[in-house]
Formats: sequence, structure tokens, C-alpha cells
Amino acid sequence: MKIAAVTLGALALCVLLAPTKQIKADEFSDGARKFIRSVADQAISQLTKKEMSSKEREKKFRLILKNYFDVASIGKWALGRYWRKADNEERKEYLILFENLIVTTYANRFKNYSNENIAINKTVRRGKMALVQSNLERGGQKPIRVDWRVTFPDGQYKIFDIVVEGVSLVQTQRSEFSSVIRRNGGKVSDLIIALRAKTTSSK
Amino acid sequence: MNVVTKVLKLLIITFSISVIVSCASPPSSDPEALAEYQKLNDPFETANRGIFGFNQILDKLIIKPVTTIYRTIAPDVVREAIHNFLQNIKTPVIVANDLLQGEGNRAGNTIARFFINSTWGLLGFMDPATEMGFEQHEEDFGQTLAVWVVDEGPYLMLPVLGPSNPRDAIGKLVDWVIDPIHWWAANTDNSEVPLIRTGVNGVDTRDQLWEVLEDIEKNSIDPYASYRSLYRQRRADDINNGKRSGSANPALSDLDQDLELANPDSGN
Repeated sequence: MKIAAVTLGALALCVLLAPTKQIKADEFSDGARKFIRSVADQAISQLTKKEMSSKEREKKFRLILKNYFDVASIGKWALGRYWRKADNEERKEYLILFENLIVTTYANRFKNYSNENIAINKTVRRGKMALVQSNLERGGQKPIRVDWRVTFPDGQYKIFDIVVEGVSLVQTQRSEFSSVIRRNGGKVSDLIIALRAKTTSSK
Repeated sequence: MNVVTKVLKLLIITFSISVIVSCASPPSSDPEALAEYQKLNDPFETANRGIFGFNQILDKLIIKPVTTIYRTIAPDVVREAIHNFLQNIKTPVIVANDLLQGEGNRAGNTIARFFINSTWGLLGFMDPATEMGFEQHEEDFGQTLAVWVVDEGPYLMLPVLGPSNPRDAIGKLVDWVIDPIHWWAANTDNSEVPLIRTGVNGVDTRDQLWEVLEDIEKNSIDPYASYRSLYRQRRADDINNGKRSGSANPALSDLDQDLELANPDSGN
């Protein structure tokens, strides 16, 4: 009788304890999904007014970028193995230029927004990241697949990458940067020169 | 057929000469650099960049101006109709490749689209099938070869045709040969038809990609590298039929592995 009770008790304990890990993982994915929903809504409400000036749009975009994207980590990853080869001065300047590049490249794309809807579907857990899958719906045309990679550094959700129809923006950036560095004898300084030129000429 | 053969021969000769004349040599000293070179899989980069330069000039002088005129003269509706028509007549090649890949459902979807669009869609100029839930998908023999586990091989920049690799280039050739429109044209002495169609396809494709290409032109510090990366990622996605499993896309699994690099505490 005692043995049965203990066994039952042990089993009951297992049943109670077992799902905890599961719940934690789901919580993370759930939180990531809500996070993306809120970022998408904010981006749409703040960045898509047609009458906004470029400067104004860029300013608002930069704010959203700094708050919700892990820009430093993305920048480091985009530089790949060359991050190790860069000294502190180069790293600092590179990260500033990298952020400027993102702003000048992407901020004004929101000008062309025309009531597309972002519908969030599944969220999948991938190691330390959550992959939030969404569709950009555009009227009668085929929707565009947009996936968001979300990390959780320092207790806050941050976006690490956006994958559009299978194309990772961060991966594409990294390929570009490593090509520039490689063709210039492996010197990060040449990439920095190119970035300086690109971000000032676009202004 | 004669003109096509001549043009193909010329292109192959041009390409071969540029390859022979300039082959990139691997960096032998640094093992990390060597690993990166091999992973990049672009041993003909010098020749490829040369051809890329040629393609850009061709685009600037001919393709872009023609497409600009097309975009100015033809209203949105007309351009969409032409695009729909071109998509519709690709059906036989898409179905063939669906079947060769063992994708019965996708083949059925493509056939359904063809019937719906050819009838209600007014000979394919309209696309009611999409709204009815039959979404369009692309298939080609290059993708079929990939599904049959043929490795893509080194990156190739083809004259006029753009980014490719040996597997996809052979795929394009096979698709050209098996296309029933080309059979019909050859047998009924209408050999200009495939050429006209290719020309219209070119302009339509340039039109569809207009914003993307403008973007790269404006924002990329190394357009050649951008195209290479974009091409490979899009191909991987197409081969995978848009399924979102991160592991199948090498680009994304790279990201998962390397995330340690980005950790500020890891002293990297």
C-alpha cells in the first residue's frame, strides 16, 4: 500500500514537473510573436504617412531600429570573421556606419506602403532564437513570406534578422561586406571607406 | 533554330575565352581565408565579374531603356495581363518538372491553374486562379536536378542570362528543349516565335524585378556580391518550395551556428 502510494506520488510529481520546460519554450515563442506584432503595428503607424519628409521618416525609423533591433550584434555578425581583425577604433566607426547604412537603405521604403497587412502565422523555436513567420498580404496578389528571427539578449526581445521569401537580409549584407573586404586584401578599413562613401552620397 | 544555334555558339565561345584568360587563384597562405574561398565556391570570380560588367552595360544600353518605355507606355493592367499570359504558357514545363520531382499535388495545382486561367482567365491574360486559392509556383529543370541531389557547382555569371551555375544552366537548356511551344514552332516553320517570346519574357522579367534591381543599384557597395548572394538564397528557397525549415537553407543554419560570434561576452 505504502509502495503504491509513494509510486503514485512520484508519478504525480513527474506529471506536474514535466511540462515546465515545455511551457517555458512556448512562452518565449508566444512573447516573440506578440513582440513582432507590436513592432509591425508601430512601424506601420509611424513610418507610412505619405506626407512625412525623408528626414522625419529616417529619424523615426532610427528610433524603432535602436529600440527593437539588436543592431550591434547584427553588425558584428555581418562582419563575420573580420570583426576579430578590426581594432577598437575601426569597430566603433563600423557600427556607426552600419547603423547609418541600414537607415539610409530601408527607412524610405516605407513611403511606398499601401495598406498591406502583416498576418502572423506560426512561431518556431530554433535554439536561442524564435522564428516568427508572417505573410505580407497585398490585395489580389500572392502574399510575400516574411520571417523574423527574434533573440532575447538582456531580458528584452530584439529582432536579429528579417527573411523575405527565403532571403536573409543579414546574410546578404554579410556576403556583400566579406566580398568587399576580401577584394581589398582583407582590410576592414577599406570597407569602412566604402561605407562612408555610401552613407554620405545617399543623403 | 539556325540563328539560335549561332547565338548560343557565340555566347559559349565568349564565355570560354574569358574563363581561360582569367581564372582566380585561391589564397594559399591563410587557412581561414582558404576555407572561406572554398565555401564561397566562385573560382571563376574574375571572369564572372567581367561578364557581369558586360551584362550591366547591356542593361544600361538596351534592356533598361526598352523596359522603361514599356513601363511608360503600357498601363499597369496591360503589363499584368502580359505577365499572366507569359506565366500561363509556361505550364507544360512547370508540370513536367513538378512530376519529375514527384510533386503530384503541385502538378495538379498547376494544371488546375492552366484550365481556369485559359478559360475564365481569357486565354491566360487574367489570373482568376490565384484568387480561387490556386497559387502560382515556378519550377524548372535546374530545381528538378537539385531535388535529384545534383550539386549546384561553382557560381557562373552567364552573358545576358545573368547569375547561374552549371546545374541551373543545364536546367535552362533542358527546359528550352522540352518546351512544346518550341517543338510546335520548329515543326510549323515559325522559328521567330520562340525568339519573340524570349524577348518579351526578358522585358517582363526586367519589369517584375524593377524595384529590386533599383534597390541593389542604389544601396549595394558590391552589386556583384549582392546578386550572387541573392541568387543562391532565392534558388535554395525555390528548390525547397518555400518551406520554412531553417536547416534546409544553408544561409539560415549558418546564422544559428555563428550566433556565438555576435555574443559580446564571448571575447570574439
